[in-house]
Amino acid sequence: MELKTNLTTPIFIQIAEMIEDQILKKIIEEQERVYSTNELATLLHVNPATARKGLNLLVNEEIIYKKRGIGMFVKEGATQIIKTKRMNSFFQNYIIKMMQEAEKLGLNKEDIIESIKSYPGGIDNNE
Amino acid sequence: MNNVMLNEVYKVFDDTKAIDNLTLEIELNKIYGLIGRNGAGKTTLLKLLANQLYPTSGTVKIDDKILKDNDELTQRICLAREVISVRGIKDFKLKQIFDIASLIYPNWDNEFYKKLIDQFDLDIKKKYIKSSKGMQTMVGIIIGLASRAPVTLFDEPYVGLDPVARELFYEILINDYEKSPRTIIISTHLINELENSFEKVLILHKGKLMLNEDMEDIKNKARVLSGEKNKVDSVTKNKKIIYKQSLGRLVNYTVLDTFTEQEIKDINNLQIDFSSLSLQKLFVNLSKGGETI
Repeated sequence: MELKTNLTTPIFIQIAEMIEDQILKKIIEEQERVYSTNELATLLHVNPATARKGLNLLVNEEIIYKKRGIGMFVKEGATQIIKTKRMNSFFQNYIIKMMQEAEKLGLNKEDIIESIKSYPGGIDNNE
Repeated sequence: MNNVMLNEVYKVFDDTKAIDNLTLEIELNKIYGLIGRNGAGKTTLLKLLANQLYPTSGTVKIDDKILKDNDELTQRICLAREVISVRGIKDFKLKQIFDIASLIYPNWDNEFYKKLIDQFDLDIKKKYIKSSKGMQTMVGIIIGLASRAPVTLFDEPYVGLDPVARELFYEILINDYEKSPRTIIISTHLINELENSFEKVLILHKGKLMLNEDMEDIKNKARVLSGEKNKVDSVTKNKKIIYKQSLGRLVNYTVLDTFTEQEIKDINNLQIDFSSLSLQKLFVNLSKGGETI
């Protein structure tokens, strides 16, 4: 776990996204405890207030919840919430930008679909 | 409460104004980074806050009471560095120095002190004068931490310390601060190592306060715009530009200001490179830009 200091994304959002990534990759599973403010602050060398803000963001989005006196836990259904959120931004961040660039270059939709199909990785329908 | 307030403070040595009309409120229980070039007045400011120097004029107050000549208030402040300057103490063993410190600070935590000696692997039977520079720095750090003083000041707490010991110090500091919050001010030149640990940042320049901001706001406002001059000029018209560089038709502007989403879209559409910069780089560019801002 490492922060990128040259990004324009605020540190507390980077922390929240980092935890989201770990939930998506099942490094932290649903119903499992997530890092405490103190653990995050110590590990990432950030001010505890920043770490707390990152965790609170996830609480507000109902991805994690607080168990009194024990700590923060991943909510059941958190993975789905993160996926839905990320899918919206996937369209915003990648598809729209790709299509705008394609228009500039005069590429038609078929060309793009072909180039997507020729990409060796990714998930196919029958998988 | 331990509110620290400086009001129109001047500190003059011969004819140099080391601190030049400083009015500043130190917010409670936050970690401050104190940054400035050599001779900017960082150590003088810390000594004024620790009651080891008196202002030439103006006041330093804690909880609305003047710090000068007030022993009870002075005990609430620990300046981690000062062991060395006390005459006669150099020949003491480290153990004796810690014993004295434990008597000075009412909140001294002896358990924590023992743990720190262990973690830093410090031989307390050694004489201070026979200890290495790094070990002497550790003595200051350990006193600063174990004092649990409501206002703890660290003056360049890294001289002679290897990177492993520095990381250890940062980790212990953050961990202990979370457990027992207190006001902490750290002066440092190793800005990159600590920038995300700060909640507030003070930049001193020739005895004056150049910047006093939340680290998060700095992160959100400090930007570099690079691209063709006329384009960059068009999007930075009403912005606070702190430093300009140019190379042929291209320019790099360092800006400390907020941009709306629409403005960022425009910047992207004009193919201007828009990126953030570290606190260290911001400080360097602020200093190069001089006092014009």
